[in-house]
Amino acid sequence: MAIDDICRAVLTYNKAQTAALVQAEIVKGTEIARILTDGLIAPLDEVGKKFSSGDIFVPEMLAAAGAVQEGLKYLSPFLAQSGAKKRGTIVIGTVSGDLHDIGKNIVAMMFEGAGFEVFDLGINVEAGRFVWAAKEKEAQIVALSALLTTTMPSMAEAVALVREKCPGMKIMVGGAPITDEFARRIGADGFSIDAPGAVDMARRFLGTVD
Amino acid sequence: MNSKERVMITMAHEKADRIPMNFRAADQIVQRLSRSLCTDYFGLLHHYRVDFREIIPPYIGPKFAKGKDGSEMDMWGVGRKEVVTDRGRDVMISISPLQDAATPEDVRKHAWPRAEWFDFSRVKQMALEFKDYSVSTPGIHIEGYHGVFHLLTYLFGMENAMTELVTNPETIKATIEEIMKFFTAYYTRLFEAGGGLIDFLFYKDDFGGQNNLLIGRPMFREFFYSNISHLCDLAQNFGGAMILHSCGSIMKLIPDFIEAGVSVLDPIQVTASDMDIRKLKHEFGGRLTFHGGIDVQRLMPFGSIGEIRENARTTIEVLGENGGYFFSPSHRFQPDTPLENIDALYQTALECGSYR
Repeated sequence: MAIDDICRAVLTYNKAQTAALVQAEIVKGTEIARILTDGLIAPLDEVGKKFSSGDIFVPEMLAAAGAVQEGLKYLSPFLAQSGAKKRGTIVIGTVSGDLHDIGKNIVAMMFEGAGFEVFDLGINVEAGRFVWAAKEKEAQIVALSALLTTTMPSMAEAVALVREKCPGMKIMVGGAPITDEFARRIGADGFSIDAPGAVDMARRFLGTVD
Repeated sequence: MNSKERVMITMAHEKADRIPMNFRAADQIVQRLSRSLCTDYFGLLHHYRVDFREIIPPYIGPKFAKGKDGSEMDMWGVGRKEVVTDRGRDVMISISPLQDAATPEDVRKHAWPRAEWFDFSRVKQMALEFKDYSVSTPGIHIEGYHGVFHLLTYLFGMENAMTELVTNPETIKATIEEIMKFFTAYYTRLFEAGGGLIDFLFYKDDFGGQNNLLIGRPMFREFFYSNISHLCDLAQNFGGAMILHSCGSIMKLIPDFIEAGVSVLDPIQVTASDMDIRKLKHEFGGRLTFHGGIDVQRLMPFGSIGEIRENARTTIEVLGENGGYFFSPSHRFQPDTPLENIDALYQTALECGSYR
């Protein structure tokens, strides 16, 4: 029942309540992995589905992701000790020359909410920094964002460099001007039109579809 | 027929001599085009037969101190930083003064701008200089002059504003009230000073993203509808009309825009989902005039001359049927747009845009 309450808190965008209920479950001794999967990831998946189908919009998705992040703040220290299987590590950033980050931030929040470890390199990220971070953080996925048509060439360069220096790395791309066709042309492994789609894709890449 | 007459006839959904034209471009494009045509900015507007001009009352308010981190501040207390990248220059929001505001009281304590900070004394003279043109309030050509939703994202920070709309509506509403106090005073004084020569209140706020609305319709109705409606009334009281700019996929809000009193819809971002010009003209063409429609995301930077000509022809044919269309790119031409593409676009528009 109490796990359902966490879900409800996330689905009603209540940050403080989500945090309090997560703490209460930890104290109660509920399995950490279950709090994460059923209490936080499951409702955020539901929010993601509602977003993709156009029933809710960016503010609601951000508010739900914010509540989940608040819960994760208390859960994360226990996750490492609990021996719960890691879901994977993702390096994300907006490509060189581009300063836009709302889309990238939403995707990063949804990745975190899905239980991935996320390293956000921010905006205007040189291709080489993606390579460095991917190696340093032992990431499995590099996610690149671009909003401007003028920075799409930076995306192509970053994909090429990551491809060359990090064999086996999965690369996903997104952003307003990006299309499936462009993603294929520059050699990315995938393109998603929205944040929930990016989460699904990451799960497929890592074989962690629940 | 002068530009003003051309625009007014078109907005009455009748055929003028030709489609009215507008132009907007990033500074780099303006500079390069002006150089290539050996002219200045107004020469450029004249060259492309642009029918629109804007009046910009000078700012005479308190000087802005630089932000602690060197940011350039604006009158809202928002800080921006220019960042030079290997792809050019761009500006990012670096200081959002209401980032930590949690209550309506916090918001009211903020130093809000005042209409007195602008010099309206030369407005009439500027309007007279442009008397043959269709004249608008600032923003149709120059950067800045954003609406309520935009300002919320600057004042609170983008993610924060979005979240607060859901979790802290009272604080957001108090902010909107303060913003609207300024807008009401500013536009009233501007229209008064214009003495009936200002035709449009150009109001820029983006409610759509590439794939869908940024906010749902209930949220639009709760927070933003009444502001737009209020500013439409204000413009109409002075014999003007509103051009509402909203990028993105906004099909579902158009009936609300019309109900609020919007006369012209800009920029018709055809690359966004559901923004089909045939559907738009069919469903709303009788009640709205369209401004824009020429894609700057793919067509203008990457399209061939042939594609650009074809697209201009089709857009004019569809949106321009029986008037009700102002030809314009759907955003500023970006620095990666080849100048010959822009030239081809306007050449085609002048060839095909004639009603005679």
